Amino acid sequence: MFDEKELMFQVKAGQLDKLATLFENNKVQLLNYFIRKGNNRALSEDLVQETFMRVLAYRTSFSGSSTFKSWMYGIARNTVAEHYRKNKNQALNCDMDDEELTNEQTLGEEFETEQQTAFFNKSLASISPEDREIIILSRFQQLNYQEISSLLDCNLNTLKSRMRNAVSKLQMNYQKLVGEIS
Amino acid sequence: MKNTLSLSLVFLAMLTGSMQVANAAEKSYSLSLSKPGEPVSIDIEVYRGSITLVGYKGDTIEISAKTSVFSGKDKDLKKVKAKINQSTSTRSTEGLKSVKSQSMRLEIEERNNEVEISSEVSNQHVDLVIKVPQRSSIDVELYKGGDINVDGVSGGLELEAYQGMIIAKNISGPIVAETARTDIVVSFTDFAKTNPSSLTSHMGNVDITLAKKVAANVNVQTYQGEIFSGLDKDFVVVDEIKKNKKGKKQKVVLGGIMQAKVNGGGQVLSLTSYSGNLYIRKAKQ
Amino acid sequence: MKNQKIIDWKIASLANNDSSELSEEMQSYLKGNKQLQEELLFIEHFWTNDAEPLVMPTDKLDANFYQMLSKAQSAQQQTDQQKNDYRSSPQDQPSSLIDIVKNWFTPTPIAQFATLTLVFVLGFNLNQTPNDERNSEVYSGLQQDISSLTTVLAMSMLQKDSASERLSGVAYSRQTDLSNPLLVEQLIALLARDKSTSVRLAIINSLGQLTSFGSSEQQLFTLLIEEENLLVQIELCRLLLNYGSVDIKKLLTEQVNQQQLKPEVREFIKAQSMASYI
Repeated sequence: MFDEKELMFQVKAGQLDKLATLFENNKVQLLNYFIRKGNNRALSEDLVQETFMRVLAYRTSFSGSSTFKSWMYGIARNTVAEHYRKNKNQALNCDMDDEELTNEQTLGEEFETEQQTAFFNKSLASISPEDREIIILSRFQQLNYQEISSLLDCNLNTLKSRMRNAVSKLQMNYQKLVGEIS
Repeated sequence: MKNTLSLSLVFLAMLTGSMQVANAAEKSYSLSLSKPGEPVSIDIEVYRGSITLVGYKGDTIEISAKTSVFSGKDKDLKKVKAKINQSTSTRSTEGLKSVKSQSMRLEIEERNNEVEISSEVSNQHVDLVIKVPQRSSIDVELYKGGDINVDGVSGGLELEAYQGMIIAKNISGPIVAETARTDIVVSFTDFAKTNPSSLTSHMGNVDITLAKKVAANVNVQTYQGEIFSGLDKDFVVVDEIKKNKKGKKQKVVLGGIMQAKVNGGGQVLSLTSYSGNLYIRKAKQ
Repeated sequence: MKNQKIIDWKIASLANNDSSELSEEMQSYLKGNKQLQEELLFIEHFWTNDAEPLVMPTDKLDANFYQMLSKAQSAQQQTDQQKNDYRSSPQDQPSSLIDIVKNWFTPTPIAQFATLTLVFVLGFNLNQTPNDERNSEVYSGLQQDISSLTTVLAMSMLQKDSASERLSGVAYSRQTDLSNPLLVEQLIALLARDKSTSVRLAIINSLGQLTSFGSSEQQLFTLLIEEENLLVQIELCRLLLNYGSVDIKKLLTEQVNQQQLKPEVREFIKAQSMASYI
């Protein structure tokens, strides 16, 4: 198909139209990334816009030392951090509880799976932001270890142990939740 | 900068006199501007001496220059005399008095309100006292000798003193001043927004006083010196750490920049020294 | 710890496409460990649970993006044009900030566009949250345009005679996040030859914004070694120690025992490398 790194180099060289392909290819995942971090849909869309604006503005600093996705998520993280820095007084826009309620109300065969999803989501919401971030980047944004370690600027072993700790905390919280219900 | 239209005046004052006393030559000159009322820029370069600039409401430049031999002691004069006697000159000096040359050479040029004043004779110490229109922008370079003193000038100041101090009061900047080993003492009655200001000394202290109404972002940085502040606002580290190593914030130890926003913040005023102390004072009014 | 290794393996197989198998020893250990099996099951379920559909972006997101892209493309064309004009007529360079602003009000398409930008900037709170739908399109397009204008302004101020104007140039450069390599080149060139220590220190501070120095790193290191000015030398040191590559940091630490750097700077490097949290 196409190579995202190659495309980004072309954007860097001045072929701005190539950014459209990168946008189309990543917009859904990026949007869901922001939503998973606890932002409502409208804000998440703005954050996607803001991220791509910065991708454009910072195009000359793309070095290709890691993948385009890794670099883009780095910008995405800064974008959302910048947003919260500027809006310290605003509470985290979190719609995760609302979604969960809807899930729990569904009857039928899918009930169990959806309930499990709800529990997964709630467990995810209850671990620390740093742990959550690692899981989101890996499980949902599907960045590999190389990409994540480059993004978070840590070595592979540290990443593995952070991953392990995050998953264990996730599981603990999940079991607590399940235990509460049954 | 100079062209054929410039008005050039050169002073030459030759004085003869007794060898026992170091004579001082003093001269005054009043310089009118080509474009009265309009912005004035003054460039001063003195090799050895002291420079005092006083802002006033007038529209001319009043220069008073006093020269002296920089060592000015009899010993030296006697030495000079002795040298002459021992000189290998083949001419007879019998019946002749030795003439101590005390020429003061001061070059003053003005073109379209751009003024240049320079004194380049190295064994003369020139004390310049200059009255300038308050609004003047001034650039001063003083290599050896005494201090640069500025009082009541509201234009931009660029001051460099390699041996003496820099003292400025009743100014508003922007000011960029630099010394090597001596202190910079500045008192701001106001603080200009146009461009940043910066006071830098390698080994000397930097001591500033801010009037109550001054709004500024004061940046301080010293490697071996201490920082003393009389401000209400605390200084906080602002060195931007763009990269977080291993998820932890990287602390900045020696020489980090700290900032205090005075009266809500404004244009930047940087105080830097390697080993000198930094003093930030609040004026009483 | 066997448990840890097995969990790492499981996560890696899902998260990193790792297809390696567990060793026989590990497999038999796992067979006898019910709790560990449950943990692995949890991880498997969590990773493969696909009940939740992805949220799809609205048309508005697309519209905003494409509008921004087209604005950026036209801004790029205009900046190129402006740069060509600027470079080809050095005698016509504005000699003061007032002249630059005056130029903006002359009736040319570029200037009109710039004026419009100014008007928007003055009457527009750029700190509004991206939530504000009405303004987000204009906001994003503006950011691009302003960045190019700021770069041109920065480059112009850096050439001024007065040190405080050059300090302004450095301040404007910081606002552009140093995204323009020409600007970075100009800053480094100025760092090498500016006669004002204040300006040079300000430039060094601004270079800390670069995500990476690239080829400039060697240039900066050479500057450092040859530098006569104590404050400049020590600040260059701090810059490279804080933001430089691993190689350059090694190179600098080696300087502690060499005579090329001033003793104060060598002391500084020694102290920094003793700091344990870096």
